Parts: sequence; structure tokens; C-alpha cells
Amino acid sequence: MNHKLLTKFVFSGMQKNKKTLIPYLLAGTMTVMIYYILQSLAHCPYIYKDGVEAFYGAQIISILLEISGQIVAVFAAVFLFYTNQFMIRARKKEMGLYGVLGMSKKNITYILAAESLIHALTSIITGIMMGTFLNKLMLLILYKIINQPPVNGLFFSVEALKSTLVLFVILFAVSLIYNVASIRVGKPIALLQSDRTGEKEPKVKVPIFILGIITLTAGYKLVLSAKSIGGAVNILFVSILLVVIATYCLFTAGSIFILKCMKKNPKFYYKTKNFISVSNLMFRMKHNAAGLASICVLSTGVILLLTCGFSLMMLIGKNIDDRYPTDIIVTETVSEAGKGMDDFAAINKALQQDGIVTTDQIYRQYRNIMVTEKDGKQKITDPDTFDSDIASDIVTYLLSAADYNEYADMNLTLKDDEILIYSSGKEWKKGDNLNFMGKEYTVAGEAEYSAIRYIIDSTMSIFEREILVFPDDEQICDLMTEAGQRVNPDEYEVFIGYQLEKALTEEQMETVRALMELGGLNREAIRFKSEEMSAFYSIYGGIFFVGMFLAALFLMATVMIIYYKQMSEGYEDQKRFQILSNVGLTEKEAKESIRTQVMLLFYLPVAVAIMHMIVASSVVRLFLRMILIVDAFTFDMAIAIVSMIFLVIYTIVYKITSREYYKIVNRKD
Amino acid sequence: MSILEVNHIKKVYKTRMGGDEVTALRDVHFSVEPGEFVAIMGESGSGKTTLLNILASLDTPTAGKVLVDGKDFTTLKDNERAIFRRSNLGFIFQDFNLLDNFSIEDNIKLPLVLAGEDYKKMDAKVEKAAGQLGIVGLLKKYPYEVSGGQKQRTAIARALITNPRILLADEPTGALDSKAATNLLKQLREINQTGQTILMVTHSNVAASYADRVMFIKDGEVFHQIYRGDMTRSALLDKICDAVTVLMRGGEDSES
Repeated sequence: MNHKLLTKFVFSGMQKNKKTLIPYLLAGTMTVMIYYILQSLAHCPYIYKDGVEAFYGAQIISILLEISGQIVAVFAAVFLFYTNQFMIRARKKEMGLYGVLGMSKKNITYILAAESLIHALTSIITGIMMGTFLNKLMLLILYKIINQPPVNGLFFSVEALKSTLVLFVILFAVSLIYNVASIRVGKPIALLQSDRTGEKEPKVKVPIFILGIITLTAGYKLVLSAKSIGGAVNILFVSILLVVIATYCLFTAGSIFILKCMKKNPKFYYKTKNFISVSNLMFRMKHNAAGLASICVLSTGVILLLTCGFSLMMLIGKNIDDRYPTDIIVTETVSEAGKGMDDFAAINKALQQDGIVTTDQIYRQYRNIMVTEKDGKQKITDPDTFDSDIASDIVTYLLSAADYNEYADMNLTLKDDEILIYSSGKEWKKGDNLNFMGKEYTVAGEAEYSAIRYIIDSTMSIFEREILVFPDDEQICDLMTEAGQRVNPDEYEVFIGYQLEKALTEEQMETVRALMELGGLNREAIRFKSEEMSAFYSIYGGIFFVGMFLAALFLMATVMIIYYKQMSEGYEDQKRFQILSNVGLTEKEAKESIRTQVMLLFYLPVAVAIMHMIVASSVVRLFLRMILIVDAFTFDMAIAIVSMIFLVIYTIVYKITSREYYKIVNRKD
Repeated sequence: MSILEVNHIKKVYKTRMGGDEVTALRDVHFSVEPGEFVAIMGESGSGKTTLLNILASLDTPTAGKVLVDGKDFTTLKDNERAIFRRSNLGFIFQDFNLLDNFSIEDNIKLPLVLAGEDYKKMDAKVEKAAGQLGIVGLLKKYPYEVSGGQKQRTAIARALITNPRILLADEPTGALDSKAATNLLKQLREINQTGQTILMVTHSNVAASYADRVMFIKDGEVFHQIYRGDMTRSALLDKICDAVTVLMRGGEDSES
């Protein structure tokens, strides 16, 4: 056949299918764009290129960008095949008709190939073009998030271009091969009659339903029972798995079960609105339950990512202050008495020489061991059984009453078997008993936070932490000696901190470091808050930035899946509503029934996603505690705000989709 | 008073560009008495489907009126027309128009549910209608599980359950084999004998021979009518065949 004519077919076909084609091309373009932006940022000289960091911590961002680029690549493959399948299913009839009219398979292949080429070119070229324009904007946003001064200059990454081209050319080529194969296999007449004939009413799959309920209960119970970070780590994988299984089971079997119950109640069922909705939904659920469950899982992912991202960004300043209580921090482990104080004096002198004015100088010394709690007794952790249950491991800081008094500016004496305690995990009351390394102690009260502020690192740790104040240093030494050779009784930790009048320049930091080295201190022992802050912002800002990208991608995927589902169902429902209208269903009633159904299909996954999120919130918060402290209020606010944003976007899509759906269903022919 | 009065209706379709006009119905005028069984015959393109759509209130005439029990429904709004349709008219279609996601029972109940009837009264009505049509044993089944004849009987049960003033049938035997078609026509005749007014559109001579009166439509006008009077069915069938032949000859004449 004449190629000119075939090309005409290609364009008329695209014109006819524009309702499915445009979203497909949009999705393709967006995916290409996201991938290209991530890739070119990862290779951008303003972040990290050829082993050169543009700023402190930039390499981490580059790695994050690379990783998320790979996630996007995998996702893009799955997602493009999925949407492509929708496309080709909708076209089968058309291709069948061409076949019946005498077009050879070669001709049809030509049409498909030409179409694929146009799709690929449109998506890739537009995606890369938009990506190039948005690159700079994204870079500036990233710089803003991570607190770096903006840069001038444009960049274009050849590597990014190459990897984007390779990935998407392969993806579109594989789609084409799939399409050609699925069209070539079918007989024209079978393709033409691909409409489905009547089918059985779905049955409730009782075992799956029960499995769903059990897994959901078990998963939720696990999640709600996790009280410590260690506990949260232990249950993480299992609980996610359980809840995902439960989501799939309950969407498939549970939805049918509920609809069946509704049907069994004649008073409810035989109402105009319910009658049509319930039986339509029953069949729609049969086909869509798995898709809806996927949407639910994806939505949960999006909400989770966004919530964590927002919490990070809202709390980053406060967390840096917690983690770095002073502008200069020196921490070291010393193994001879008096060495800590000597170092303190040496650093004081060094700073003075350098003309650095300090407003506050802090010195703390303490001992630090790891204990395991079992049956209310705390014993030193056996390295062999470490890891077995990190929920019961506690990082313990030991202080003498004399030091404590000095740090807290108090005048307290403890009896021989009395201790003060402060724990990140549980609340201790005066008069409680604690068996510590085989010795019984009475709790005399809670330790003052001001005394321990510089000792206890309130952020980042997967372990619970506690501080114990003993009557005197001797007792601590005895305890440590008794605990065995694993602990060196003479070893203790030192914290030295300075608040500064003015921020240090980089040169000054270098000088201080050099002086410290001269004084026999480890170069790594000193940290500057301003420098750490930059790294912090790089990590968290980077995570946030990448998280936003992934969330956007997941959201887009969710939206597309729903859109295509509604479209394909619209065509099936059209006949149904035609019949109903013949029998006397008014347009108003039809609209109402359609709204009920579409709304349920739309909002059910999101409602369940938000429910999952609320249940998981406490565990997620525990997880975040590994990298920063999140207070319940901020976190709940983050969930609320993210859910709202998500719902707003979702509702816009719902409006568009339901309008299209209604147009299809209400078409009279 | 006539149960249905079709008053000089005319239907003109405009092509999309507003260019050519197609006259589907030129001037159709007739009336139907209560309890009558009327068949409307005509070739494809004669305008009989347009006529039925207008009678079914699915379409509106360009001019003229349609009165059911003296009430003109062509001027009603869309929603009101839907309500009018479900409370006054019953339908049977060539391709049954059953909903495949409802059981036979629920298909029959559909008009009652749309009318917002109390669910407690539904079962008795379904039983009666299903009994009349011999499909009681099928109530729990789904459309895909029953034969074409049974589907069409379900459609009749659905059409009759609201006690419509008029039962409109559009080529009801079109998708059935001859045995099922004969059974169905006999059933329609029985239903007519209980006093139900029936208006059937068909191009089958045999199907039309079951009616009391046969109207022929040609080129958008009522061309000819045959009353059964006290003729037997086969005598009526002969007359119908003659009329059809004349009709076709006329067509040939006008072509030449």
C-alpha cells in the first residue's frame, strides 16, 4: 500500500485517539523531563563534577540524584509500558478494522512504527527541551533549599543527554515491539470483536478476605506497638509487607464483600441511586481492585515522602542547634586522668592567641558504655549478642555527683545506693528501683537537663539513651572494673564547646585546626557548627529535593492510572447508561449515580492511604529520630498539610476525569 | 378517547454543517385505541425507527404533537420526559437491552426501583410478571446464562411491571430464531388479550400478522392500513404480503 496513504492513516488515527494519546504523551514528556533534570543535576559542575565538590557536602547530593535517577528509570519503564498497554488495547478494534478492510500486517506494522516514532520523538524532544529550560530553575531551587548563595551561568550536560536518549529510545522501542506482537498475533475478526460479553458476578473470595483482615490487624498492631527506635527498625520490613498484602487483599475481596452486604439489604439496595451504583461497582471492583490497591500504595508513598520532607525542612534549624549546641565542638576519648582538663586549657590558649573571642566555654567529662536491659535489669552489652534485639540496647552515660553538681550548678549529695537518672525512652520517678550491673539502686530523682545538655546527643541515634549520676567517681570505676575487661575504667569522654562572638572565616578554622594538631589533638576531634550546617543542609535539602521529584513522579503515575481507568470504563458504561436512560433514568439521576461511583473509586485509595499514614505516623516519627528530632505537633501538622495538598491536586484531577467520563458515558449514539 | 394520538408529526434532521435537510417523517397522523395491538411496518429508511423514538419520547418531533391519554409529552423537559417515560411506557428492544451486571430479577425490578417504589411490594410484582412469562425459574440467573428468547421475555417482564399505558416493541423478534420468535409473538398476543395496548415496529410479515391492525409507513407517511377485523392470522398474513408487494412495486415505480 501507498506509504503516503498509510501516513495519512497514522495522523488520522492519532487525531481520533487524542483523548488517550495526549495524556500518554504528557506522561512520557514528564518522565523524560524528570529523568533528564535529575541526570543533568547529578553531572552539573555547580554541584559535583569530576570529583570536585562545588560546596561542602555536594557529593552527597550528587549521589542522591544518581540514585533517584535510577529509581525513576525503573519506574519509567513500568509506567510507560502500563500506559502503552491502555493505548494499544483501545486501538485493537481500529487495527482489526484495518485488517478486515484488507490492510496487510506489514502495513499495520508500518502504521504502528510510525506512530511510535512520533510518540517517542515528541516525548523525548519536548521532555529534554523542557528539562533544559527548567534545569537552571531547579538548580536555583536546590541552592535555596540547601542554603547556598545562588550561582550564575548556564550548563548543559552531554552525559545526561546521552543517558536520557539511550534509556527512552530503548523503552519506546520495546513498547513498539510489544504492540506489533500483540496486533500480529490476533486475527482481524477477533480484534474487531474484542468487546466483552456478559460475565459472572464476582464472588467473595473468603480466604483472601480473611487473610486481608488478619494481615491488616497484625500489621497495624506491630506498627502501633513499636515504642522505641530499635523496635521500629525491627518491625519495619514485616509491617510494610503485611500492610501492603492487606491493602491488596482488602481491595480485592473486602470491597466485594461490602458490596455484597449492601446488596443483601433490600431496603438499601432497592433505592434508585444505590441500585445502579452497587451493581456497577461490583463489576468495576472485579476489574480494578488491584489497580486501586496500587494507587493506594503509591499514594501512601507520596504522602510519606512529602511528610518526611516537610518535617525535615521545618525542623532543620532547630535540629542543628540541638546537635551542635556550640559554635566550636571538640569531643575526644581520653584514657588518663586530667588529660581532658589539660586539653581544655590548651585549646583556650590557642583560641586566645588567634584572637578569637568566645562568649561561653563549656567543659564536660563523662563515661560512656552500652548496656542491655532485660527483665528490668541493666547489664553491660555482650558484643556477641549485640544486634539480636537493638530495642533493648541503651547507650548509657555515667557521671559522678561532683561533676553533675558543677555542670548543673547544684549542691546535691547522693547516698551510696542512690542515683539520678534521665532516659530518652521512659520516665523515671523518685523511689523507683534500678538494678544496674547487678547492684540495686534507688532513683533519687530525674537529672537536670541543663547538666546533661552537652553530653546527651539528642539527635541521631537508633538507640535509647540514658544518663546515670552516681554518688562518686570511685563507684563508677568499681562498676566498670567489675563489668570485666571489655571496659577500660580509666577511659572517659570529654566534651569541650565554645560559643563565639563572630562567625569564623575558613582561614580561621584552618588555623584553629593546625594549632590543635600541634597540641597533640586529633584533627577530626574538632568540628565547626557553620561547616556542619552546610553539610546538614546538603543532606537534608538533597533528600527533600529528590523526595519532591519522586513524589511528583508517583503522583503523576497515580493520576494517569486513574485517568486511563476511567476512560476505558467510560466506554464500557456508555451502553449501560444508554439502556438505563431508555428505561427512564433521568439525566440527573444518571449524573448522581456516576458521581457516586467515580468518587468512590477515586477517593477510596486516598482515604485508605491517609489511614495507613496516620497509623504509621508514630513509627515514621521514630525513624526520623535517627536523623533528627521531630516533635509530634510539627509532624502531625506536616501530615495534615501534605494530605491537604495531595487531596487538592487529586480533586482537580477528579474533576477533569469525571467530566471526561461523563462526556463519554452520556454520548448518544 | 384514544390512548395514543399522533398528531401530524414531522421530523427533519439537519446535517451538521446546516446544509442539507433530511426529512425522516413528513406527516404522520394516526391514533391507537386502548387495548389495541398495532404493528407498524416499513422498509429500512421509511422512518419507522424515527417514529418509534418519538413515540418513546427519546426524540422530539420538529412539528406536531404526540398525546398519551390526551397529554402532550413532546413539550416536556428532558428530566420530566424521563419520568414520563418510565411511568407510562414500557419498552422491548431488538437486542433486549438487559443490563449484564444485574440478575434477571433485578433487571425486571429496575423500573420499579427507578420509580422509587417500596422494596417490599416488588417481589410480588416480579413474581406475577415472571409467572405470566414463564421465567420464574430464571430469576436468580444472569443475562449471559439464558437464551435469547428468555432474555426477550425478561425484557417484556421488565416492560410490563410498571403497568404501562402502552407497550412499545422495536423489532422484538429480530434477534430470535423462528421458534423463539413464534413463542414470543404468541406471548405478546396473550398479553394484549389481558387489555394491554401494544405498539410494535417490525419489518417481519409474520410478526405483523399477530397484530390487530397493521400500518405501513413509506417515505415518512402512513401509506396504508389493514385491520384484522375477524380475519384469521393466516388470512391477515396473506393480506400483509400483498400489501408489502404493492409497496415494493410502488418503490420500483418511483425509482424508474
